[in-house]
Amino acid sequence: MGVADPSRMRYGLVYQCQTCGASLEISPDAVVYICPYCGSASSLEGGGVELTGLMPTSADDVSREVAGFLRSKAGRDARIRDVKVLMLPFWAVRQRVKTRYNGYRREYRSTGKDQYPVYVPVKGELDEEMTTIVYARAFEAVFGLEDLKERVLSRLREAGKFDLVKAAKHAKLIAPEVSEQEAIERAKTIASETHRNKVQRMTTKLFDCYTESEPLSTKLIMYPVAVVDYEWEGRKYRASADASVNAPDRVLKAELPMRGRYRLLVAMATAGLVLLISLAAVLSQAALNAGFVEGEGALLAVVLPPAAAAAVGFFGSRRATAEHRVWRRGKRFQLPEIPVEAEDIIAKLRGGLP
Amino acid sequence: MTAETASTVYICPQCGAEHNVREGDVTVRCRYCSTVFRTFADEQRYLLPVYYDSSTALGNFLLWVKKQVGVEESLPLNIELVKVELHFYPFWVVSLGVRTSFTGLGEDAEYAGRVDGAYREVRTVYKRESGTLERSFEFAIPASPEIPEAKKGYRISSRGRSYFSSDYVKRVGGVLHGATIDRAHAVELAKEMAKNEMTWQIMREVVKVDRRSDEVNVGEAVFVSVPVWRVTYRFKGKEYYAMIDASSSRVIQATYPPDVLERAGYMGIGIAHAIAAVAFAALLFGLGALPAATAFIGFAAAAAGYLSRAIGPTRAGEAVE
Repeated sequence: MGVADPSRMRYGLVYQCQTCGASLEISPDAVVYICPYCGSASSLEGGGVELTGLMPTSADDVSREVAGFLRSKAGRDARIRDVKVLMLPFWAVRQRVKTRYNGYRREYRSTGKDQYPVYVPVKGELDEEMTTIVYARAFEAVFGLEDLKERVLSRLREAGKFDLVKAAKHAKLIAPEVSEQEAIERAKTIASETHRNKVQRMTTKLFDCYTESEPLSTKLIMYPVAVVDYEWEGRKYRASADASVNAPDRVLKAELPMRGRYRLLVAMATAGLVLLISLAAVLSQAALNAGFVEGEGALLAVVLPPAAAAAVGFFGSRRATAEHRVWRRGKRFQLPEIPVEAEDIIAKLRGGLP
Repeated sequence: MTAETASTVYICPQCGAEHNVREGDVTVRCRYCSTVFRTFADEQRYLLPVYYDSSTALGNFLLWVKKQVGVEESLPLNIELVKVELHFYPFWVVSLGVRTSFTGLGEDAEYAGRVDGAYREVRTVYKRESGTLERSFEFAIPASPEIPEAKKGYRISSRGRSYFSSDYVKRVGGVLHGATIDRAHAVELAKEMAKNEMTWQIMREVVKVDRRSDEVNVGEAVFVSVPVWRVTYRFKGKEYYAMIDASSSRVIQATYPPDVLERAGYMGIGIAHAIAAVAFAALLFGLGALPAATAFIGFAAAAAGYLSRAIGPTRAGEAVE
């Protein structure tokens, strides 16, 4: 059962480019149309739109670098099936965000042997200018979207005028579906949650947290992204990569296969950690027996070790038996990798590889 | 144009019977169960295009399913396709903005016993509070009661919806599902969901609400048909199913045959951890009840993790991110 080639079917809005007269077919959701023939961009309500962005590199270059990454992480069995280079639209919304907050933070002070809680009022105002990146597509979910947004934010200053026609030769231009006004509304919500999270980290109990935002500027950015499907031992995995020229690094997020030795490493680390926590509980037991901790401190000393061991045991075992693991660029803690070369050497010694 | 080419196949949302519905017919009564369902031919309709044909979608499915924990390894070699159908499921996609003003009882604190920039005592007090919250929402609401559970709440993934065309549906060999939920009902459901979300937001600020008013601004409510490959396949005499999004090839949900050996392996590892829980608890008991309990709980939790893989359902869906 096949489908007609979508590129030859008329199922969208047919629009005539106001600059060069080319016939364009755009999604009914599009708020801006981008002409890949003359490079102009206009709002559907009329009026030009200034597009900024970065130039994409070729799909071959991306493939080569992603393949190298996958070989180093997953071994020579990783084979790329499909690479799509897309110019994805993002709104960069700069806003002034003010948040009034009120709560308190509990701390513990000690006088020699005794420990007692004290309460520090935390009341004030956060006032800052922040830039929020909003994905400008209405109905789409992209693997690695949050990582892409972080990358767009980090390279915002490099985004400028670029040759759209040349870019269209390397990448498919994806038109924005979220208007400037909608982007500002979404950015307000994101800013409010960001400030709330910041304030919650400062407090033990938060009573009030009210945020007001004032938009200062907006910028529409087209960012080149590679969406990669690859195969390893007959299994499918995904990756997303920065497809811009001069990208500091390529792969931003990837599903990686769980090789046998990696599973064993995680299982052994889990069991080891549970044992370590159990031995640390010996110290808690000693502190309780000697009366060094009382009240809430004693409760923590009794509850914390078993709770920590339960969490490590359950999630460690689930991780050791997961269908894949997720690797993200810049993530602070990732389990150590067994070098693929080491596995190849072991396999060779056993006569497994030519 | 003959009657055949001017009609599209619709499925009754109640009994699943097929009907050839003429172009432009808005309401259809099922001749088997008498359920009345709608085509919404009088509305501006959209659909998500089918970017992945059945072979590509099935190929992706087989590669994805091989990744699942405890799946039978020989599935791709011994799979027997029973049925492969393209279904267009109806959804209402509603976008709205809500502005909620509220008055209620919020919390504050009174402090006593000052010591070095802090206080020894704190007492929660209540105060009158008022505020305004504004949020935008977008919901995809199933327009038919027989939409499979997995599809409800599914984030519609696409490179953009297109205008509805029954010619397109016929060309790709799809069948449409009739809808029983109209625009007004869908908007009411969306408003309810949005208000519930606002309630959750308000309760982060106050403990009791005395007065509340919601201004809801409905942006748009559009009728979108979402294409899904419904696959029934057989493996060693047993039937399984898969639902694959035809616009993105993402596996929405699927059942698959278990690898008995692999599952037995996880069962064995789980039992070994359960034994280790008892053994380490006994070993550490001499050092105290707390370390013994910690070791027991930790290894028992690990055993639960492995056993859940051994006996878990052979059913999964592909995550969006």
